[in-house]
Amino acid sequence: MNTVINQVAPTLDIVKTKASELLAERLRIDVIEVDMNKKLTSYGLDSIDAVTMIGDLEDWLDIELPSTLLWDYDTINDVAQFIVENFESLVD
Amino acid sequence: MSLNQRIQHQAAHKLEHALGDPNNPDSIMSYKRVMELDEQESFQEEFYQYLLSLKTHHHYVPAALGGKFETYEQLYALGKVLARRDLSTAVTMSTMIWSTLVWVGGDKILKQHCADVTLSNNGAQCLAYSEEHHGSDLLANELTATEVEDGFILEGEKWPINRAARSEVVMLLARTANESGGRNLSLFFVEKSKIDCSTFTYISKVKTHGLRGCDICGIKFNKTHIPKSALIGPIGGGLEIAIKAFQVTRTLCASLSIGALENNLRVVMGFATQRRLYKGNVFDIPNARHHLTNAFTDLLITDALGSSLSRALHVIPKQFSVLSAVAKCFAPYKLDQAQKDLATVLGARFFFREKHKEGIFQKSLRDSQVVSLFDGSSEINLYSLTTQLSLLARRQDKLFAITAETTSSKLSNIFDASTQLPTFRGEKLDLSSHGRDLIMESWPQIIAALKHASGTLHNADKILFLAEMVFNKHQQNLQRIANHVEQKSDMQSPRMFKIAREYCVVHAAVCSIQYWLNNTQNSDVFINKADWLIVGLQRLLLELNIDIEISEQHLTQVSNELLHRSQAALSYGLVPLELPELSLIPAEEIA
Repeated sequence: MNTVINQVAPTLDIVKTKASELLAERLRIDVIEVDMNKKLTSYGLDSIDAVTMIGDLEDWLDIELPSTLLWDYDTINDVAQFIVENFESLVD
Repeated sequence: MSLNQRIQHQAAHKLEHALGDPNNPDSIMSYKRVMELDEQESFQEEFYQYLLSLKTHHHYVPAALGGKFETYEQLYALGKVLARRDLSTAVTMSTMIWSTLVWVGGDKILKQHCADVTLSNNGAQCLAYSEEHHGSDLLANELTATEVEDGFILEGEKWPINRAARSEVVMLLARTANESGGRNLSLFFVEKSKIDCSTFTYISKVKTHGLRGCDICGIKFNKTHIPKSALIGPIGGGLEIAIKAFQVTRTLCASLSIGALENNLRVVMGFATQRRLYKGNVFDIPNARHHLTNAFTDLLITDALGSSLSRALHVIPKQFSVLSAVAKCFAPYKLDQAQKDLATVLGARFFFREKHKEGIFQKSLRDSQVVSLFDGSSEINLYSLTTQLSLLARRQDKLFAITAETTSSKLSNIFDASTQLPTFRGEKLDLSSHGRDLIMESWPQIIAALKHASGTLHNADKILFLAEMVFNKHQQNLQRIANHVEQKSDMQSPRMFKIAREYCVVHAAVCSIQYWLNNTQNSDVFINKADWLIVGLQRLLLELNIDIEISEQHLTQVSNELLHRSQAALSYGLVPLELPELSLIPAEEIA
């Protein structure tokens, strides 16, 4: 991952919106159907999909995230919260 | 010091000679005895006990914990020797590798305990992940471990499991939470001698196409109590540790495929050089020689990939979600095909369960087909690669666009076999490479190095020509991946599976060229002159649907070397080891 100088943490809402879009894309559902408080596993997101979606988020934010983030934080809200709160330490 | 004298090959060399000439019926693992046990579908107990007497199992325990394990490169070399003799025995012995689960996920106390158990002569292990109704879908597993005050209660069964009955330790993956998700499984180090034996039973042995003597059966737990100390890592950490350990074992699977081919190539060379046909021998027939030469080349190319990646485990462990899948997809696929081509040279004898070399060819052919199924099938590994292609492509596309040369000391540490490897750090393994693949990223450095070597290294200009073709094809594939992502197409489509397979083929090309560039000081004349690499790259290009003609002289050089190594009883890998076989020169009457 390239080092990003002066990278600014995105807002919680932006991360939540993007994560919802990525989830909808991966599951081929309409983004309106994504409930940010619903457990990701209840959508049928399997373990590999979860790791892959982390890659999509990493690519979008240009940061490195824990590979098991979606196993440990299981709603869009929780995932977004983690990213925003830990953003500085996640930037290489 | 030449490479074959280096430490990574010493244990393999010693083991070869301790096992003796397989043609000699008095040798411990003679073809005759190996075939007798296979015909009886009997477990290889006498071979296993002999290997224990040689302390072969000590190579699976880190030196810091009292064992002999230093590097995966050593284990890779040992795996080739065992698989050459008898894949059933290799597979039985190599279950010790499941101690990796503890090295990766266990605490200090469990690590030392696992080391002590493994080093004892009664520490055989088995891996119990699979369940009859769930195959590779581990998250659907039903066997439960319910936490109680003083431990866990196991309920359910695992099947099919290699060494389920003939093991002391069951490395058990069990459900510890009812919810779905990556944290519903945990791993346990279950010692049979420490649990109530009335609470578990075995499910009878499965009849198999190959590995007929192996103890492939099942185990069923019925309210089995195990202590809290049996837990490996945290509760819910099972799937993560399991996948990480697979990254090690999938990489080492390449050694099993190479060992099996090493044996059968020697068996067919024995036939081809001694069988009199049409006023010559079989080796004189151009098409037969062509198959033999190709098999030898494929073995060398796969050895470049396998040995480099077994070294890379120490240098870039974080990238093994990609690299282990590459090794697992490439080696069995490529070498199973080579074995089938060899069968055509052996003619009717490929079908015999006796006569030429006691009929060992068909056994080795049958046994080796199972390697592609171990530790997640090749298809599962290709699937895993398809999920990572978009990130890999984006990163490499950016790097190649600016023709960034990777001048990492890590690269030379991976490929220069004379450099010392750092201690393996299992905690660095990761479920995602985060888009990184240092080896594939080294393409610009390879092209620059080949241009620089043109005129100084033998055949460098020809290798540059072929390398550029492979690199161009790889760049086209990166573009196809990018287009696929942009169009939001299914990343698990057959088209992406094909590109994932081609990614593995390109990787084999990178590893082979890097191996050659980095070992010119230590290799013999044949490796340095690189005819094998030219033939190998031409064959890899064929797999990328590019048909390039090369000069016949390169094929002749490779076939001459094949003949030389066969007659001088030298192994066929990149680092030729002296084998205990007798020379093939005396002709024998073949029935």
